Amino acid sequence: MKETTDSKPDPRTSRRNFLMTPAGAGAIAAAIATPGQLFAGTSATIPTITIPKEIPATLNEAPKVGTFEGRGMTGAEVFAKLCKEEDLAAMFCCPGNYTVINAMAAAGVPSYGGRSEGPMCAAADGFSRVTGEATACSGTEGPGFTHMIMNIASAHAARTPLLVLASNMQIAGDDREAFIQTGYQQPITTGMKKYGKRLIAPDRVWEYGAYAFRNMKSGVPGPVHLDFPGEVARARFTDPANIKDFYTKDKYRTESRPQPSNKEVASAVDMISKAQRPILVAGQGVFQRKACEALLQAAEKHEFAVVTSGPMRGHFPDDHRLSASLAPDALMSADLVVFIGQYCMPSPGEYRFNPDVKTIRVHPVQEDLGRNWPLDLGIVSDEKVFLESLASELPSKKRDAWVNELAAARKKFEDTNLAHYQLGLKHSAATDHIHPAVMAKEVHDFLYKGDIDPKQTVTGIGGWTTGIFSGRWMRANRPGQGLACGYQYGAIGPDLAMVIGAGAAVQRGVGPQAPYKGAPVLCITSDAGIAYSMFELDTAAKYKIPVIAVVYNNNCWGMFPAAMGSARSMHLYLFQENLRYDKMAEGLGARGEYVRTPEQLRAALKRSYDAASKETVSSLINVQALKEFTSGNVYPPGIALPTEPGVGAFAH
Amino acid sequence: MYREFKEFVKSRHSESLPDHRRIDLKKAAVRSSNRSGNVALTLTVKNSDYEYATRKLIHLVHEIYLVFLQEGHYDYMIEVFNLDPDHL
Repeated sequence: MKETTDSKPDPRTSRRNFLMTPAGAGAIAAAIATPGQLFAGTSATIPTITIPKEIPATLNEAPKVGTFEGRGMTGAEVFAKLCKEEDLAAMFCCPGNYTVINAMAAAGVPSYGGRSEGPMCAAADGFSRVTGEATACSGTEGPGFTHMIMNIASAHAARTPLLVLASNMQIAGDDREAFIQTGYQQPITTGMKKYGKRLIAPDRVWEYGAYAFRNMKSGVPGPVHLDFPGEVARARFTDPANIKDFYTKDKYRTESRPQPSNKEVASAVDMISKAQRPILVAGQGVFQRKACEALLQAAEKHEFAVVTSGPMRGHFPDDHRLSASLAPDALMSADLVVFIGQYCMPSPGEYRFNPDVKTIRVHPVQEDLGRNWPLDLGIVSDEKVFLESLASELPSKKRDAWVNELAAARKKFEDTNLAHYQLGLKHSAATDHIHPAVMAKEVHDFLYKGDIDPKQTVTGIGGWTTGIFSGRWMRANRPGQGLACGYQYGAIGPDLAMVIGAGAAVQRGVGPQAPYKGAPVLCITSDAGIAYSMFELDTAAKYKIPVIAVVYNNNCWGMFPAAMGSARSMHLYLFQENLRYDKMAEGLGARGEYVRTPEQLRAALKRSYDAASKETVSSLINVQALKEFTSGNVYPPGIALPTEPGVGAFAH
Repeated sequence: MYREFKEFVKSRHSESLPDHRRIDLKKAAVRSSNRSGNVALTLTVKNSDYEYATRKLIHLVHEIYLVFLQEGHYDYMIEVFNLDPDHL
């Protein structure tokens, strides 16, 4: 890939000239260091893939916030000003909703433009999941907005503070099907948002922006959907007095949080102290409310076990001696479970606890306490406030027997994984294709057992066979290191886009990613999944976000066993065999690798990591497999559903 | 598969398990039987502690679903319990 860097006046400055000039033609390029000539044209007549100079140039322009002087501010600029003052962490979009996205980018909200709205929505979700920050996505009125739907629903299931923006024609054209793309947006997001509003009064644009951030940053977060008719986005304001409720954020929302009473804390301390084998389920609220340090202090002081849950991983380190995330066999021994920040509650039987287990649940909103899971003690509290109270009030305690049981269970889990790997190695050698247990173990060893800091690399996993095998091997040893891409909603395919969004956060070193600023990120997904967001490799290349995409290619939808025994059905589940996703990646400006043996995979990971870390070039590794590896009858061990809660969990 | 199942039930009485996970053979015992593919569990209460024995039986059935079947018998769950990701 090449990047244009000439300092001469660009002949493509006018829109007309730009449209008349073939992409890349005339560019005097200086290569971003790339291995070999992988991305160069294959003959003198085929131009090289090129990043146009307008991309870095416009990214480097100073922010330009609207003012009330002269022509005044548009409604879009007023809204963008609020987003900027709220430190909206990022916006991912495709063109459309032009007035709003331009105003947001101009105001200085870090903005990313991609190839389709659905994956851009997933990227915004991924950014938020690894930082805990509010992010935005945007698309054009009808088609762009509806393309985002799967990933809005996924963000809703993950309780992501995601601002969904879309243009929506003009109020003046309502119910007339005027021109194109008309539609009622708000009913479509019913059931998949925390709050939504079609803005119809231009002077209330700030007020509804405040609604959006109040909802995203209070209680349990969730997506907020605002749609902007032209009358609102293009309204002009020359006097702030004409904008309703034009307050600063300390006037329209509060950082005050619910606190537990002394009696409630005392009751919880008493129950935890009396328990023999207490375990705390640290849900996403622990991460989003920045309570990881308080959790660590409380756990170490009183020696209770901790298992994490939620759409992100690492808010309690997998490699900690008190972690039960890799110790599924110990879960059934717990006699007390304390749920904190568990926003998506399982029902009994969905988590591997014994039927007699006592339960404390701590949650920031009262109305959810008691839902799905019966309580022995329910406490309304902010997660951080409660964990700080626990760290202060719990007595120091040693629980040697419980800690030893955790260690034994962890060893049993790791031994089982190794046994699966050994079986996988045999299958791989016998078939000259890579078994998923082998793929997962090789990636694990590369990320956590070699020269790379095991706390560094953010990973995201998805797919069915792929996700289930990889889930057992991916680790999160610090907050925001892991993404459960299919969490709860079970969407197939947002994985790569979500990891690219996470990669944007790592690139900028946002929040918990600060110590690892600029590090590569890694996605493991399937051949079924990659189809949904593969084109965003172009987006990763364009913004120099270094991603390694490991694609388990088993030539089918993972649920193909559902067609067995059903007449005329199997063709619905199968693809052409041996498709070359690596070649497609090369066509998008990334590197491509094709592997069929563990040794080849090991070498490909090394080359891909070097390209990512040294040259900010992304890679796709096509791991060629067989669909039959899914079957335990033919190639044991076959699929084993992940234990919940814990590593690999994706339902709650 | 039945051989594995029988082994799993037997292992729940093992001295290697911690007390809180074990079925104490002095108080109760559970054995499995298989008649033409119809598998049954039989509970024997040894010292009239019916609460203990019943509780252990419930725990065992719970573990059969959440541990034995979930960890190693995905195909069986598709065939017998109609499992698919849409009906987990």
